[in-house]
Amino acid sequence: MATTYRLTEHHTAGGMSRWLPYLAELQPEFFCEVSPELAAERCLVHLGWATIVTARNAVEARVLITQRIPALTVAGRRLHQVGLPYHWGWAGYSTGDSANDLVEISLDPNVHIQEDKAFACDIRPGRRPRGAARPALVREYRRRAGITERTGTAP
Amino acid sequence: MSDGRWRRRGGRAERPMVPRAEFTSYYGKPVLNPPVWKGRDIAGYFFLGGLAGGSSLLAAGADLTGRPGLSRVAKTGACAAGLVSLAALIHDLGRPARFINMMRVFKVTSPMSVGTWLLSGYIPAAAVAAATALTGRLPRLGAAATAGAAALGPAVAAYTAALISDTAVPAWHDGYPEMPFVFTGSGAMAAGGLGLLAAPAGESGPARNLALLGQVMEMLAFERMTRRIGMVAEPYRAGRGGAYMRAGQVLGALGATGAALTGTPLLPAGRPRRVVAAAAGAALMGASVATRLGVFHAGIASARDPRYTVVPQRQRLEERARARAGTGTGGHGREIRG
Amino acid sequence: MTAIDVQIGPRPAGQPDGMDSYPGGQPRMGFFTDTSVCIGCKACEVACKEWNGVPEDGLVLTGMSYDNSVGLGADTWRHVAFIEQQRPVSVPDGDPAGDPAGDPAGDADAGGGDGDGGLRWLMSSDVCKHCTHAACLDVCPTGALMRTEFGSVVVQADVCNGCGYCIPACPYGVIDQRKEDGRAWKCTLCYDRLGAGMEPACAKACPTDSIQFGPLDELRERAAARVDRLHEAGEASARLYGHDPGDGVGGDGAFFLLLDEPEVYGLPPDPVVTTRDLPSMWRHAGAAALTLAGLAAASFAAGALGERLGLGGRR
Repeated sequence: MATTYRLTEHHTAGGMSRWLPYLAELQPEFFCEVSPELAAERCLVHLGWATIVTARNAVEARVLITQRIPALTVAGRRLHQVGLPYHWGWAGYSTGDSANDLVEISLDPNVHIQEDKAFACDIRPGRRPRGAARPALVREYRRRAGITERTGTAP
Repeated sequence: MSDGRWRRRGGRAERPMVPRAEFTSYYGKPVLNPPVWKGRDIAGYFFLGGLAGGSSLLAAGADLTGRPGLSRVAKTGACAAGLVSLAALIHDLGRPARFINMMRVFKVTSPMSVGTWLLSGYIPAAAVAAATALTGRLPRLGAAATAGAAALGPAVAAYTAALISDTAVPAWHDGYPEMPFVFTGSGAMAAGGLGLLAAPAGESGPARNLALLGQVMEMLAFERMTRRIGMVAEPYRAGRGGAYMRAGQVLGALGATGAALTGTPLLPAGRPRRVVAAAAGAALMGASVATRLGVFHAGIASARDPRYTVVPQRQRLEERARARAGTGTGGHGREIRG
Repeated sequence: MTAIDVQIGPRPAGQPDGMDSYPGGQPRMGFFTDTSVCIGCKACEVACKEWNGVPEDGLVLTGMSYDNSVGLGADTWRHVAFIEQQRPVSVPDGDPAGDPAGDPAGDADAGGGDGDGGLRWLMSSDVCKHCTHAACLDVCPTGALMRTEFGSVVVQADVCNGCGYCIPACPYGVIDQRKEDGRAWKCTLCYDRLGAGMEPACAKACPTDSIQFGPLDELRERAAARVDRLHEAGEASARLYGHDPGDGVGGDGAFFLLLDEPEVYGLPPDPVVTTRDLPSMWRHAGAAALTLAGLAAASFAAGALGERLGLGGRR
């Protein structure tokens, strides 16, 4: 499960805070936070790279291993969490992949803030593929999970 | 890693009754900021200062005992060392153009301030002494300058030890009682080495003696210092500092052996003696350079590793707490002391 | 500070904390940083940089929890430290509603299914301590470092020539050299703001009043009361740091309430101003200088002795 949240140092989508050196230096890179158990399971290295994949997209983030993001036990099943701050984008003093690229655009009706804050994902070590290989990776995941454009829409 | 506490074993305590310290730091980051000085400039200056101070003493003695060759060598050496020192010190400043700001104040609490004023008296004296010796003019002025340089020379050689000890750097501060003797011993070696290297063979006896005496003093002082300061002595034995110190010891031993040989009939006079003397002199000067670099880098290493700051201080706190508890004054313990 | 300053050791008697003070009785001002209410927002870091025009100093993800500033230096005058700890929770659960003492930072229960022990996230805003006996000030050879009428220690940037002596002298590792610039820089306690009757930028920006600014005696009283309240509430690990005029630097102008040992935060457990040992250092240096002169004399005497005893010609 990925869960997105804010950091104190940046503001919403980061379009305003990523351009300010004083804020950018406080949180300079897009990172994901994982528990030590998940890191051990998926061979993630502290300050290394990880690729987070959903049915929509794949993004890359630096890894921060922390006890603050615990593994949950839900209905008797171990569920790991991946914490993702959503402040990054491709432009600015500090750049990085956007966490909200992992979900569809679902905006709250008043201020158009991304509604989805928690969703299923996979995480793997290493940087994400570039170019055409990136959607190819995502298509591979969809194929394995049996996800099509009609998934979740049937009555 | 996310747990923020890096627990590492502390080093050996200096007294066996103090238990081995568990040690915590902030992600292994240094507590202190290490000096920003450059080794070539500052360790170079320590060497040159010692060389100059010792040489001024040799120059004065040579004048008094009628050894003009040794006198000229020593005076030239002191003057050259002094001038290059000045260049090195100004070069090492963050704002070299503002070097004259050193003379805004005189502060006894700042060895660098004291040194500035010492050098501002010493360097002109050494320069005049050398100039009069080399040109042969104004001999009375030259004699006064030689005396002045000889009076200030020992201070120039010794104050730099107070300078580095007057910091928070554990390897330098904790060694402050012996450091001046390490420095003056090393200065004596360098000055004696120069005399052996460059002075006429018949006049270099005192230079040889000074080098040998200096080497013994430096060795004894260094041993005593590193034995006394406990774990903080580790950077003098390991890493870059340790490597330079060992090089200094080897060169010093070689130089001392060669120097001693030149004082015995074992070496045939003439060319062999001159060659050995020159080699010994060079080795002794090299030993002094290596020692200064060793002390310099040992200090930097001790500032970079939080262990050398945290462990001795933690031990000190615990000793004080034990002492308070032992005398029944029932101190508040660490909670108030902080 | 006068041009000729020959004082070593404690300052003249009759001054509070032994401080120099200007006639007119401006009390000594300082910081009390109560880290038990710090939320790690870093507003202090940003406000400080904005007010003082301090350059950004490096976009590096450090992995030291949320601390990407690493430590105090020439370009970081307020530094927020983050420490994640596995600690048993000391304040009993279920008390927040009735607990008047406030909630020491982050003792939430961790581990959705596992809930063993607790997780504690310590946050602390570090700053120049403006020591009573400031080693940086003592060793500065140009007089650039000076004591202000507020009791703070300030570098005069137009005087500093970057000799770098203050840097290894500081027992807390605060002051440092700005590489491109060459000079030494550190917190000024917003000297320019104090002169206008304002509080320093960091204290102004702090949303929880973790950073409190005011007359130092008043802050010390407030801090003692705060520690007592925390102890009553069960937070036994709360302690003051740098508050004691009897410590190795004579007490700090900026002192702290910590929730663990100082070294956990990167602070020295028992800092001592290096100048305390300077009189002894001078004595030893003097002895070494005299010894050197003695060795030189002996070197010539040995030669003369050798000649007298007929040990061969002049060598």
